[in-house]
Amino acid sequence: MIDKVIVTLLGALVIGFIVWYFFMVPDKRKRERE
Amino acid sequence: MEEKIEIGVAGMTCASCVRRVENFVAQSEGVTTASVNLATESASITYDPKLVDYEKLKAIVAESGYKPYDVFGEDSGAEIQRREAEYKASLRKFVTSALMTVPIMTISMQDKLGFTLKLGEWPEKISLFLLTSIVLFWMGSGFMTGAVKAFKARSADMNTLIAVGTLTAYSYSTVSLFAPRLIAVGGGEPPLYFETSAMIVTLILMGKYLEARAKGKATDAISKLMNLAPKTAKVIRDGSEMEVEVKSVQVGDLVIVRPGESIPVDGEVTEGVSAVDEAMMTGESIPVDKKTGDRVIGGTINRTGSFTFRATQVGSATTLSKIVRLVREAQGSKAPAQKLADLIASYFVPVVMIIAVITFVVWYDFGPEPAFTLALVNFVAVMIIACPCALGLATPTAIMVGAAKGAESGALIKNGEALEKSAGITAIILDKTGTITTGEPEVASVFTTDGVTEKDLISTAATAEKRSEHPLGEAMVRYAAEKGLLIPDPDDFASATGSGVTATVKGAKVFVGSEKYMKENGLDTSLVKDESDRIAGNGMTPLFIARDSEVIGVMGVSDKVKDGAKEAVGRFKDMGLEVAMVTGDHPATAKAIAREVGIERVVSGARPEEKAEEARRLQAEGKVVAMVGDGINDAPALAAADIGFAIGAGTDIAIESSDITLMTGNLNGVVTAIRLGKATLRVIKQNLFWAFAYNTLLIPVAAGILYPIWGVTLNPMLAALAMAFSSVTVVSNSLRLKSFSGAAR
Repeated sequence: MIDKVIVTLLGALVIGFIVWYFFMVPDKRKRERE
Repeated sequence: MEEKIEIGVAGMTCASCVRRVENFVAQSEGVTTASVNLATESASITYDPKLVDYEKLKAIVAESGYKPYDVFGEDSGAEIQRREAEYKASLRKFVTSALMTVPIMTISMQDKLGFTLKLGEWPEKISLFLLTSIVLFWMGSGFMTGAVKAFKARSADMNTLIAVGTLTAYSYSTVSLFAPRLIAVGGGEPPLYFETSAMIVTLILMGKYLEARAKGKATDAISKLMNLAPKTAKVIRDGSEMEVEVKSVQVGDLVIVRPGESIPVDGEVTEGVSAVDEAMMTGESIPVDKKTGDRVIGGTINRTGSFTFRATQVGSATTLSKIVRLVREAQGSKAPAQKLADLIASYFVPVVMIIAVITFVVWYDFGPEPAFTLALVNFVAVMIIACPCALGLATPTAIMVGAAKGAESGALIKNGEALEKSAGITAIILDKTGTITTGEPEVASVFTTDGVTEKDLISTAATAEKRSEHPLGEAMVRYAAEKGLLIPDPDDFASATGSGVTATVKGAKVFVGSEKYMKENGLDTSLVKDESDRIAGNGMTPLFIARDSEVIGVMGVSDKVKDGAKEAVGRFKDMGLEVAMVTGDHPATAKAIAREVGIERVVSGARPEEKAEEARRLQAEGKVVAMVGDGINDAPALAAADIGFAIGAGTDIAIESSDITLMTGNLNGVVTAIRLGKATLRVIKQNLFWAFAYNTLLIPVAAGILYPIWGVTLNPMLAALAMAFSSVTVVSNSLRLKSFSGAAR
């Protein structure tokens, strides 16, 4: 069994990635326009 | 100069896709605005033709990850074929997938169903693996490629959820099958979830198929309209009759129509009489008589006689083409209610993924054994249950069916906004002439002084007015003709604009006109004073007739109230609307007409801008105001009101200044349009409610919120079933509008 702490950390990492990838990084095209 | 164009966008699956295409196209160079509609699968784009052209725009759409196709032009047969092909493909995929899933389910469920196939453990497991692989990567390939495309564009949509959900179950099962030691669960063999993946794909394909079928039903209004015009026409060329394709009919061609045939293009009757059924254009069920000089509309059906007409509008200029274009535009437009839904949908999928990850972690950390398996199953359930497709379809499908239904009952709705707005009006302003009344004055009362016969009076007046071009004069001439009286030419004739005419009839000098005109000519009207007051009090215009310096009578000319106007006003009141009438007419006449139809609030002697003022006054009282007028002198008021109805536009579509154009002159058309607007808004609200309620209720259930209380979790297969049915429910609910029966006659 994988350690619960590791699973939790992995989960947090995935969530972080989702937030960063879909919400935080401004659209490349938008940047070009600015 | 900006231009507007419509481009078809194929391959969109949900509201997230709509956002993606919209943002991508709108941010491209040369594009001002982009509005994408999921139900019609098209993008309406305003652009600067100096910077981009049609081909470039298509390339931009393709770059956003979807397939562009042509929708403009009159022949949308290609579009229908494309939809047909899509529909058949979705059926084929679903059936194949279902056929594969049956053995998968049989093998997986044999213990639960209480029988054994006795194929041996390994052959069974390997078949599960192979069959599921086919279902997932062949039948479900669209979901996989869609998810990859979305990911590359930094967005997530329904495909992402399905792909991640099914692939998770599939990967877990594959590892369990080939390397069980990696997932050691209390010494026993880890379970397989192949059937879950396969079942999810099959059920969602079923949902897609049902949705395509329902969407087809919603769009068939357009094909029905287009099929109204016959494919061929009989024209006279070089002196002989020949049958040609409708496309090749030219303006000026003489076209022959026999009983029972459809009229191919718009035109003017040159020979023959008949009755024409124009119900499909105007919603009016009684056939209209046509004689030489009358206009006929392409797509209507000739009932009784044969006639010849000269084509005046052909090709894309015909009324039918205009209607098709309008309906298509309205169907593709976005209702304000959709904007919020679209915004939510764009954040929805990433948020769902976050919830799914949290679900997994919580189940793994705090859940019962086998923790990993249960965490995984619930993760998949959350991913699958939360599809925003129902959200994306909620409004556009309702608008689509509503706009088509409007056209069917003679109300051309400009856009979804107009339809939504018409549901919320609280006050209605009606123009008098041409809206409440026919706009065609008629002689309704004749009074003579002693010693003068009615016949004498009518014939004298008509003769004097024979050369007059004033509507009141024309009414007198028509009246005399109806009575069968001879109307000789007057010896001389002079008219004073707006007040009366002077002519010599049978050697005597005759004056016909208003009271003011009589006085100007030194004539005494006291003999007919009582009668003229009575006429004005009844909403008619009194016209005095004098011969040889003596008034010999007075005639009352009335602009008759239209059939159904009174009923319509009553219906407006029943709806709780404040009804007002505006007119440029004399106060006494206006009041009498208002009384006849039951309106209390009257503004008379109003110029066009004063009509608009009344609209603003009602708005200041906090009312949402609708204005009904004939669209010409009422243009300022139509524009000032929250929603403008152009009435009786008949064949000339004065759509520019109005939001809703009624094909007939009947005021009850407004009642129909308002009822339709209300019905559509009700369906939109239901759809949005169910789409939201479904997601907000079932996501926590899928996450396992009920587990601590009742020990209930949601099987991912049930989640897939629920998801498939959520969009089907929304589309079917919109289709209910097809049976809208609130048309008022």
